[in-house]
Amino acid sequence: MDSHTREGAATEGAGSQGKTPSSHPAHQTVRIRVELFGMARLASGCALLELDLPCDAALWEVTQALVGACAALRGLAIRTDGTGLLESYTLNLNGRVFVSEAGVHLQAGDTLLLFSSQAGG
Amino acid sequence: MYGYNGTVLLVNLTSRDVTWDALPASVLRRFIGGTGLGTYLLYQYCPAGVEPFDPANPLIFVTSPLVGSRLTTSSKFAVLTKSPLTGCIGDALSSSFMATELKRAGCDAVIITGRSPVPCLLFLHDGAVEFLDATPYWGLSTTATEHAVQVALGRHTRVACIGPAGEHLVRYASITNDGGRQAARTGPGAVMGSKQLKAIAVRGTRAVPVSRPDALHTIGRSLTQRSLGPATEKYRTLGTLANVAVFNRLGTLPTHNFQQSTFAEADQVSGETFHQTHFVTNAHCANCTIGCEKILMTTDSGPKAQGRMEYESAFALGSLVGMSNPNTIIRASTLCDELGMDTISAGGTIAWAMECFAKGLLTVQDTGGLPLQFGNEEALLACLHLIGERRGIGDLLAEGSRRAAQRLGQGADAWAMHVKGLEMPGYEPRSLKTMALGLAVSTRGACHNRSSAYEADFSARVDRLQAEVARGRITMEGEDFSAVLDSLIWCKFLRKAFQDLYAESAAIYEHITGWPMTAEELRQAGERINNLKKLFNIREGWQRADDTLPPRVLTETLPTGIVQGSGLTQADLDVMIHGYYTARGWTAEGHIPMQKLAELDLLEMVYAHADGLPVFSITT
Repeated sequence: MDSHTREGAATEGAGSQGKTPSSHPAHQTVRIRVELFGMARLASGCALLELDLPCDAALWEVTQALVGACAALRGLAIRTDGTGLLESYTLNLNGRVFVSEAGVHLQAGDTLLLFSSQAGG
Repeated sequence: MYGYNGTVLLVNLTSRDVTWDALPASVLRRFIGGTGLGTYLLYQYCPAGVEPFDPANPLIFVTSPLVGSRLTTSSKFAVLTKSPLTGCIGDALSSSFMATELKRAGCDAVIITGRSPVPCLLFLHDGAVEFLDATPYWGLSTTATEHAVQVALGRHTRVACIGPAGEHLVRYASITNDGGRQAARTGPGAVMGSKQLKAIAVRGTRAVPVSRPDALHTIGRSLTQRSLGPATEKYRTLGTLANVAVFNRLGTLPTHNFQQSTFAEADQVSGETFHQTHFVTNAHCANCTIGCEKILMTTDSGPKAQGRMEYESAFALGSLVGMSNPNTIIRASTLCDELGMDTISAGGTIAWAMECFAKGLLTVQDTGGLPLQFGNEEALLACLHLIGERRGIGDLLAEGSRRAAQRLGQGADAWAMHVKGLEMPGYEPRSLKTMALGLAVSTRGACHNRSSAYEADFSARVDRLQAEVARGRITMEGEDFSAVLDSLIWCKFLRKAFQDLYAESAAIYEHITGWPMTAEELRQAGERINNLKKLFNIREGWQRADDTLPPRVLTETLPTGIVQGSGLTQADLDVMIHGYYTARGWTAEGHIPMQKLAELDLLEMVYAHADGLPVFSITT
């Protein structure tokens, strides 16, 4: 992991999913890491990002934070409107759980892995 | 007839008899082409219980209804035989102009039996067959052979040949065509070598008509467009090499002969690194719009090497044997291609030997002075040369890890990483439980491609570390899906471009052949083909105990990475196998009930070719 690290923050309440900021613990933010693989890494020149995200983050919140921190991911791994992943990419939490449209529960220090959804070969 | 020639060419190298037989529509519709039709022909033409190197063992080349259609990724062919590595069904796929040329030469399949008294070059051209002397080519590498044959017979002649490994009956020898494409797994090149058949050269000018060219053109354009979109992005960019870094992070990158599933130097041999430092260009098969092949070149001061590189080669000649120098991996992979042998089995067998060396079961006296340690670059390259020519320690390792371990004894089979004799691919089964099942039950041994069971593990569908009965149905569905891909034949890298593989392929099949076909009929064809593969194995002696995984997988937990502590017990595996047999409608012992055979329209041919062998059993 030799590329530089970038930082970004989720834009709470952004997007069209109707999620709004609140003082509910679920909307407390935590700092997590995102590791990039494949063309996402090469095209962005970035192997590792740090993001502040809500504890219960919808997928669109994750992807908007990602393009906020690394604009090169827009159209490459993330939809141009920032609201989700392109079908060619997937996100995995801590190497165990694949993130669905419903979102992901995050804890400080978690790591999301962004890599191709085209498994194997 | 549209879409097919409707004929099979039978060539006997001993008697030099040549026969053309008809392939009836009923057979073609039930078994489609490629692997499916090849399995049907193997079942019919392979004498029950034959030894793989017996002249009677047929070597079968099969095209498909899609070949010649110009649909993207459709230029593929299958090679089937009884495998000298596993004793089970051996099937491998290869691609490009050879497929088109075979079909244009006038046949849907070529079945080669017998053994030529002298090295032979079989030349097929527009319905004619010539037996040419291949003595001048014997001993040449695959690239040199293809070039020399094209010089002799014309540069548009397509050539499928063996290298020195096939000549020396290395049990995992490949057949090479079109500048380095390989039908490699399960060792068909060794059977070709046993027949003293150095090469097949093909020229054909007879285009096979399709029934509804306009409709086919429309759907073909749509498919081409999709093949250039996100569904194939990985294959068009880094290719399968992109797996290295991800698999390492997920703890699924087999390392040091499966002693661990992470490789400390993975970043040095990742797809990202290869792309930045060794990438030359992308290459395509004929009629392919994806262009997945990554041509890489060495960059150090050593001997130059340039060739294709896939994840499986990078893993087997990289982390599995402890190599972290990308130049060495490129050299080793290119050397395997030139010698004509499967990189996975070559790397897997050497990894086994390296562990034997580390444990003191093999010494420098056995290896001819080679310090066969994990990570020793010179030893790896020297070992590949020795295997390809069966010299020194190479004679033992040319047998594959199962036979080599049996010959060495002293408990060395405990770390021989194979299933049914076929070396394991680059997917750690202890951290990919669906894949573990796929590997255990696959009819061709430890194969990742005939089930693609890993897809479930790399998705939100399952917890990849959990073994459960439901993996049986997932694996079965993956196998049937793959059998349809391998029979039509589509490239697997196109699979995500289909909204519904069965429905779209059924429509395409109708446009090509003019014969009605539904999505359900196609799905059932996949099921029929997998059942027939299993029947072949049962006839050849398969037993329930053969559906298993190497002892290491079932007794040791993973020591590193985020999957540290993960394991797979025999009980876990048995639960999943039970789920698989149940989903298939088989008995608890993995046999196929009469009712299932009747449902799949397989009864008649099973009885016709049982040959009364006691090992063959149908459970009622």
